[in-house]
Amino acid sequence: MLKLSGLGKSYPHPSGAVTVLSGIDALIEAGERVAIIGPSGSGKSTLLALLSGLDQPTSGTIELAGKVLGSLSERELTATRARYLGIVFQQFHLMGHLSALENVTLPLRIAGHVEVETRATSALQDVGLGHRLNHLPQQLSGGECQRVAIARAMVGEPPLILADEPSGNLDAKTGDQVMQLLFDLVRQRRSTLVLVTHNEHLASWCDRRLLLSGGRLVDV
Amino acid sequence: MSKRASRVPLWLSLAWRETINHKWFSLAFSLSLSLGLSGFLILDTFRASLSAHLDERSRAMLGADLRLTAERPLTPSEERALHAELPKNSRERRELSLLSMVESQGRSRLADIKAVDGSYPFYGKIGLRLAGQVGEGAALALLGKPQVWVYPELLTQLGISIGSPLRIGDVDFTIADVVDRDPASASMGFSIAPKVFVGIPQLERTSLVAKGSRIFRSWLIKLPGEGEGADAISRTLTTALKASDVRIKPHRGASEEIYRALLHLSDFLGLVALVALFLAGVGGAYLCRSFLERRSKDIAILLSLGMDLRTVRLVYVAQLVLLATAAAAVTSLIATLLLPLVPAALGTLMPEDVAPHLRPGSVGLVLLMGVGGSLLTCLPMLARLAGVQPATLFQEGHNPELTLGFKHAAWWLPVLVLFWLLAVVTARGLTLGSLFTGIFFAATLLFAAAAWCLMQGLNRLVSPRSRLAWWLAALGLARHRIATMASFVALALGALLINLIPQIRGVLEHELAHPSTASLPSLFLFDIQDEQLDPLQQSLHEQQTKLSFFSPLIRSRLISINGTSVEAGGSPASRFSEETKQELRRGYNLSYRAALADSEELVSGTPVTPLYRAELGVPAQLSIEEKFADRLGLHLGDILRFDVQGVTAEGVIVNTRRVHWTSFEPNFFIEFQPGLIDDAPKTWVASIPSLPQAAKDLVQASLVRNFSNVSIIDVSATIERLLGILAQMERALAFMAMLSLLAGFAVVFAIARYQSLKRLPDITLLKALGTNFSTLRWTAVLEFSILGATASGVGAALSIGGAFALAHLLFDHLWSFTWQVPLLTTLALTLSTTIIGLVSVWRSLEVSAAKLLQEAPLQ
Repeated sequence: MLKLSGLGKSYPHPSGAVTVLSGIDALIEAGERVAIIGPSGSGKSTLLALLSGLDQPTSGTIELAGKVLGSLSERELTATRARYLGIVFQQFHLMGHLSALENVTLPLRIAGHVEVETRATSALQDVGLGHRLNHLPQQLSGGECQRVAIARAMVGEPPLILADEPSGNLDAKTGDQVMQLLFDLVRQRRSTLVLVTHNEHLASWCDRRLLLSGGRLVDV
Repeated sequence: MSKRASRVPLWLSLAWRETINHKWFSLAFSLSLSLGLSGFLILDTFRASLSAHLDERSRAMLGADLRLTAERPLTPSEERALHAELPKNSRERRELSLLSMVESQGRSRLADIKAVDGSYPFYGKIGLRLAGQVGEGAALALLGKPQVWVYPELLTQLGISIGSPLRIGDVDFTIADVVDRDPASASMGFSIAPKVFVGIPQLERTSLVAKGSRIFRSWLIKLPGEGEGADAISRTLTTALKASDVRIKPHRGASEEIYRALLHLSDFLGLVALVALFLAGVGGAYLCRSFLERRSKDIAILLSLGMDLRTVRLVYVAQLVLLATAAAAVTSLIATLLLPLVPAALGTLMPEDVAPHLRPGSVGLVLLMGVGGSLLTCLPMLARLAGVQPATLFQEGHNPELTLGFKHAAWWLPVLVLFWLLAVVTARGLTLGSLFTGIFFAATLLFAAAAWCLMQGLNRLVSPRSRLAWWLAALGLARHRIATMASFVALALGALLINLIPQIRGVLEHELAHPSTASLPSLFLFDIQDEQLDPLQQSLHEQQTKLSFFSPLIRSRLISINGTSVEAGGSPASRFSEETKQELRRGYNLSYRAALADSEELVSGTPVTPLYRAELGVPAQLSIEEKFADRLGLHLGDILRFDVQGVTAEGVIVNTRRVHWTSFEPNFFIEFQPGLIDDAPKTWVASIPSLPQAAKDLVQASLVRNFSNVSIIDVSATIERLLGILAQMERALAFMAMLSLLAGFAVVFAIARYQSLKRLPDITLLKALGTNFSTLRWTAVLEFSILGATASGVGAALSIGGAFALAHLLFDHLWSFTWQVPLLTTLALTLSTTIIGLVSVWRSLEVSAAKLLQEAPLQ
């Protein structure tokens, strides 16, 4: 599903380039659930930005479902993201002026689907929010917002889900509930999950753990 | 050992760092403010110069601050009353004027003799061909010697030149110079004969000043200082003299038509200046709100560290003062650079000897307005700093919000009061200033209601099947209620103001419109006898020109209005004021005409029928000039009775008409329908269209030779000068309309920029979810074009009502609806709002969606 070859990322700085990631090689199979762990500042978010095609690597390649992201045009890249990726952010990032249902319809609309409300309703029912369809994000709790975000990530049935500390903004109990839901849905739909976290407990739920340290990714 | 604390207070140090570290905001805020202030300062300086010019021009036209005119000498008691009422250090000079034949080398012509004393002219300068431009004291040379200055057409008509003799009454004079420019001649009133200037002592030698002669005597008063109070003194003198046959006129009444037009321009400029400042204020408020919202997290941090709210506010007040001071400095610089260009741009509109320059007082005023205006404009935002909750800092990913809702509307009151005060001062009147502000209040409420309707409509228009860009744009507008409403109101207000300018400009241009130069007259002819009309036309035809606009002129006296005598002393006349009585008692030039001239339009009533029929037993029909009717309180249906050289003629007013004075055609206050006074003794007045100088001289010589009784006045120079003034006025209007448009676009940019920053998280999220750039760009285009089109459309629609009201209040009901202006401005504003919105959103569109993965919230 995902193949990283010699992946590197550095940022220019007056005192010399700062290397965040360097020579990363990894292969993530379809249906696999992988946790990427590492201390703060280790480059986890940078790696996620590269995996999602939101940023370009300085060196190396990323192959997603057989497509080399670096070789795609901007239009192809956004189309690939819409087709293959679902992203769950730590800060939910729901559009404040749209209802829960409307937020979940977004990926379907972007992909050009027509019958969006039925599928979005179903996705929200799957995360236990069938009774909150028309609520705005500010009318929902943190846990509910993250469940809407999960429904949004899953509604288009993308083969790859990238999750960035999905329980980072939630209390332990709610966080566990949300993560359980995410894992259940991923399992049911046979999706691939890449979970970035510094929570060892959550990481242990995954099939494999990769430690990001010193710019390199190693199996632990 | 610890270091000593810095002498600079923390709040000032923080304010300085905020200013330096946020260069975009500092630059945008200062520039927006200085744009408005520059517009205000330049326009205000221009207006002050224009006002001074108007005063100077009107004084030059009248020749004094105050003028008393009578057909008799003042009695000793009247002389005493006059001197008692005049302020100390007032100066006085005298003039006599009369019509008399003058003769030279066997030819004679009617001339307007103007006898002056040594103080002539009090104001303005007379342009002499040999002596050049000369001011007060220039006429001293005329007092001791039998010398005269003459208008150039008299030389042509008599075939003489400077140095030739000219006989007036019993005395032979020598022509010492030619008057090329008479300060009194810029008015629209033309003398019926060329002027001859002579000293009063010399006129007295001519034996023309005898008992029974019709001589107009003028007492011209120059008041001390700047000549203020002429209007009040005029009223006091009217009461003190108790002489209804002495006309008292302050200088502001001189040259009524052109003064009125210039005054309208001046009033209009003041309101335009206020518009520019208001728009700058709206832009500044948006920038300030946007800035403080983005600073709310830092404010929360300062509060959590123990800084009290008062000090936090002080930081931002100090920052605003710093920026407003910078804006005032930039404004002064811009004004210093631009003001020297104003005389070149405005030419004859500016006083000849006054170069507009920046006064220290103006700089102080700009600083005060900049600082005070900025603080008051940003007051609601500063007040809302109390709403920042430091506790939200404990909530990861939350930005402490600086909310501003409808319940905080009261904080806008001080700035609205400031706006009202400025409007009252600028409009030079409580009523007009309050009306101007009232329109704003009402317009704001109306626009808010329109915005609400728009949001409701958009909510209903979108459906699950809507295209993504439309769906996002419509819901973006419909759901961001406060933002949409604020943008809508600001844009619509801008559109209202921007639309008012060209519409009012249209009203002014309508007033200033004039025929093509080829159709303008170059010569006016008076005293044409009935039997001379045909041969005169034949003669002019042979010289390849023609007689235009010939009209009969019949001298008369008004006897009564609706049976009420206008004579003094009679009880029925008591309903007329002293001033009205004076006007009623003067002789009237009547004319008759079957249809309105091209330069006239019907205001009320019905056109006169082509011919009076005595057998019907009803009075003949009368058409009255609109302002003349207003001045004398005449209405449709009133019956006027005239004494036409011993015969009574009665007429009923069937219509009032407006005379387009810039047509430069002969017009009359009172016109009968044909058929009643046609046989009365009359002369004709007419004009000859524009001619080259050589042809004009030949025509004059021929007329003098063949029609020696006809008086000829060369009006080319006067008309040329007036047309020059009109052209400059139009240029000034275009310049100021452009300046206000620029201020309006600055507001649109500030609003669009604010909105784009607010939407940054949404835009990046959509990109992260796979929305392509084209869809996002279309969303922005749709959102801004819907906002721009609806807001500017509603603003333009309301401007029609506003222009109507202003036209009625400022421009004597001159109102004509043109759909092109609102339509064009709506299209232009929609397009510019969309372009400006797209430009300001562009940066947000280019922000990498990877920023969503950063822990700090996007801002």
